[in-house]
Amino acid sequence: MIRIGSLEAIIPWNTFRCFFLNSLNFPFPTKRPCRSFQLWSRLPARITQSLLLHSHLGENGINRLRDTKSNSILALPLLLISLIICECCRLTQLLVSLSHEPRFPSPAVHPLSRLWSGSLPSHDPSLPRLILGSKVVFFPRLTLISLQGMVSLSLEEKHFIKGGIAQDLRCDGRKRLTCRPIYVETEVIPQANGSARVRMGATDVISSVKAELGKPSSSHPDRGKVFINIDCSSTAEPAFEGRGGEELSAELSISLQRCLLGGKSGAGAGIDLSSLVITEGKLCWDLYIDGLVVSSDGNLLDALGAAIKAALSNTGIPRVQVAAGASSDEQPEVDISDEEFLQFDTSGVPVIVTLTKVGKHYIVDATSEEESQMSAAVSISVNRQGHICGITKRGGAGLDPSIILDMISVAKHVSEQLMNKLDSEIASAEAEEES
Amino acid sequence: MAGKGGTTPATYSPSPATAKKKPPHLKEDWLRPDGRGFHQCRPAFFRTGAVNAASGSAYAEFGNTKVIVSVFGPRESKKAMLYNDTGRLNCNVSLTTFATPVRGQGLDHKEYTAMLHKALEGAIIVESFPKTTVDVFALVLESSGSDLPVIISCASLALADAGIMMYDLVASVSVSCLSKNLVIDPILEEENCQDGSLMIACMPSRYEITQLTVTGEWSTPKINEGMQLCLDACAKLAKIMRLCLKEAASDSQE
Repeated sequence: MIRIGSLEAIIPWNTFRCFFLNSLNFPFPTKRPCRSFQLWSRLPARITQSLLLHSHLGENGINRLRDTKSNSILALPLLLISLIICECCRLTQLLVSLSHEPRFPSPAVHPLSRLWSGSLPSHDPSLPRLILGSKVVFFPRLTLISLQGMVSLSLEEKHFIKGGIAQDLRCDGRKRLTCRPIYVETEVIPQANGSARVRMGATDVISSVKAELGKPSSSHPDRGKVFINIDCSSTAEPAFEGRGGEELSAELSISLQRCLLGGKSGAGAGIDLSSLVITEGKLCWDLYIDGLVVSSDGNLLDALGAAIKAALSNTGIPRVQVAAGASSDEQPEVDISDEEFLQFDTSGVPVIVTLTKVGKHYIVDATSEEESQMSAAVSISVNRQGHICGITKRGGAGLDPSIILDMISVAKHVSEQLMNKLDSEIASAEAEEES
Repeated sequence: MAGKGGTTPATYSPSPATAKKKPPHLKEDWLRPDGRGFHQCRPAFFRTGAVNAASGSAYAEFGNTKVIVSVFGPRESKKAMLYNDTGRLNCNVSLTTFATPVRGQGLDHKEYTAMLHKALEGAIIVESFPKTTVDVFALVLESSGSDLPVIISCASLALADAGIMMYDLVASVSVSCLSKNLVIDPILEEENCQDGSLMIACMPSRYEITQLTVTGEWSTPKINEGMQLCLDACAKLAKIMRLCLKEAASDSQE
C-alpha cells in the first residue's frame, strides 16, 4: 500500500514486479532517496524470497534483484509512476509504506487478468487503485504501460466505450453500424498513374498506382501482375518507427491482396488481370499499388481499400502500340503514347468492411480507441454484386460460426451503402479536379 | 542404339513446352487427381514426440504434405519486451529448400507465420505462463497443398504435447472452389487452379472459429456450405488428433 499525502494506492504484488521489470534501466540513483520522497519501510526478506520462487524473471532478473539489496530501486520507479499519474495533484510530502502482504494468486484468476476482460469487482482490495478523498480511482495497468507509448485508456474510458457500444451510441455519437464520413481526393500524386487520398475521421491514407511495362510470368502468360504494398509511416504513430510498422504493413498488404486479387486461377479478382496484357506471354503492365498510412485512427484496412479503389478509378494507363512484324522470339518494340490514356475498369473492385467485435456486439469503422477494446475483427470484402471477395479474421478470440455468418450478411448490407457513398465521392472528386 | 526407332530415350531431355491445356476441372466428369471424392479428406497421420530436444513436438502427414512442428519453452521473454502478465506466443513457419516444386521458394513464410499465430492465439490460455514466451516453430518438409491447415493442426498437437494449457485443440481444414465444385483438403494441383479458397481453424469442442480466411468470389450460400463442410471435417480431425495424444500417453505409461 502506498500513501501519497491524502492519496492512498493499493497495488498488488504482481504490479510491483511489473514496475521492477520496467525499472531495470531507470536512470535514478538506487540507494539514495530522492529529495521529495522518503522511503519509510523496507521490503521484507520474505517477499524477496517469494519473488525468487514465484517469478519468471529468470537468471538475470534474479541476479539484478539480489544486486540491488535494498528496496529503493523497486519503490522509486513506483513512486515516480504514481507521481506521473497524479501529476495534477500538488504533492509536497510522500509517505510510503510497503505493508501489503505479497500474494500470488494463480495467474488464471488473478485480478489483473480479469481487468482485461472488463469484469472488475470494485470491492476487491487487491486491485490497484488510487483513493482521492472519497473518490476511488482505479489504477489500470494499461496506464502504466502507456508511459512507453501505447494506446492508453483508463478503465472508466474502457467501460464508457464498451457501454456505449452495448447501448448503440458510440463515443462520437455514431450508431454501431454507421461509418464516419468519407472524404476522397484524387490525383494527389502527379507522378503516379493514379492516386487518391481518403480520410475517415482522423484516419488518413494515400494510395498511388504506377504502371510499368513488364513480362508476364511463365505460369500465367495471359495475365498482368499487380503488386500491393502498404507502408505505415512513423508520422502516423511513433510505434511504427523503424521496424515497428512492419508487421502491420505486412498484415495489411496480405489482407488487401486477398481481397483484391481473387483466387489463384484469377477468377473473382477485383482487378481484371487479363486486361493488363499487351502481348500474350511477352508484354504486360505491372501495376504497383502503394498505400501509405499518414495518420492512423482505426479502420486502416477499409480506408486503404477505399483509397485503392479511388486510385484505380483515377488511373490512366497509356495506350501502347506494338510494332508489327517482330519475330516471335524477340521482345516486341513498343510505342507508349503520352496523350492517350485508357481508363481502368473499377466496377469489379470490392469495398472492404471491417466488423469489430467489442463485448457482445460488433461495430463498423472502429476508431483506434475502440479497436484497442476489440476481441476479434472480421474484414469482409464485398463487390457490387453482393458476392464475398475475401475474408480475413484479426484478433485472437474465437468466434461462433453463426456470428460470422451474421457478420457476413451485415457486411453485405453496409458495403452497399459504403459503395454508393464512395462512388459518389469519387465522382465528385474527379469532377472537381476537371473543373 | 537405344533411342532409335521411336523408343523413348533413356537419357534426360527437357520435354517440349506443353501445349496449353484446358484446366481439367472444367470437364463434366472430372475426378480428383488422387481419386478422392469431393468431400473426402486425405488420410491424416499424426505422431507426437518427433523432436527430442523440444518441450513438445508433432509430425503430421496428409498425403504428401509433411510438416514437423516443435514447441520450445515457456522461456523467459526477451528483455526488450514490455512487461506482460500474460504469456507470449512466438511462431515461425519455414519451408525446406526442397519442399516446393521449384527449389527454395519462400524459405521463411511470413504470411503463414502471422496466420498460424492468430489461429493458435485464441486457443492458448496465455495467463498460464505469465512473462514468458512459448516458441512454435513449424517446418514444412514437403508442400503439397493445404499446407497452412496442416501446420495449424500439427502445431496445436505439439502444444498439447508440450503441456501448454489450451481451451481446446485447434483443427484446421480448407476447401477449394473449382468452378462449381467445393473440394475439401485440396492438393497442390487443385490449389493452383482454384477459383477461391476458404480456410477455417476452429476449436471443435467449443465450436469457435479462431481463424478464417476466404479468397476469391463467393456467394453467401456457398460460404455457408464451405464453412459447414470445414467445420464437420474439423470435428473429425480433432478426434484423430485426440486419439493420437491418447495413444502417446498410454505408450509412455507402459
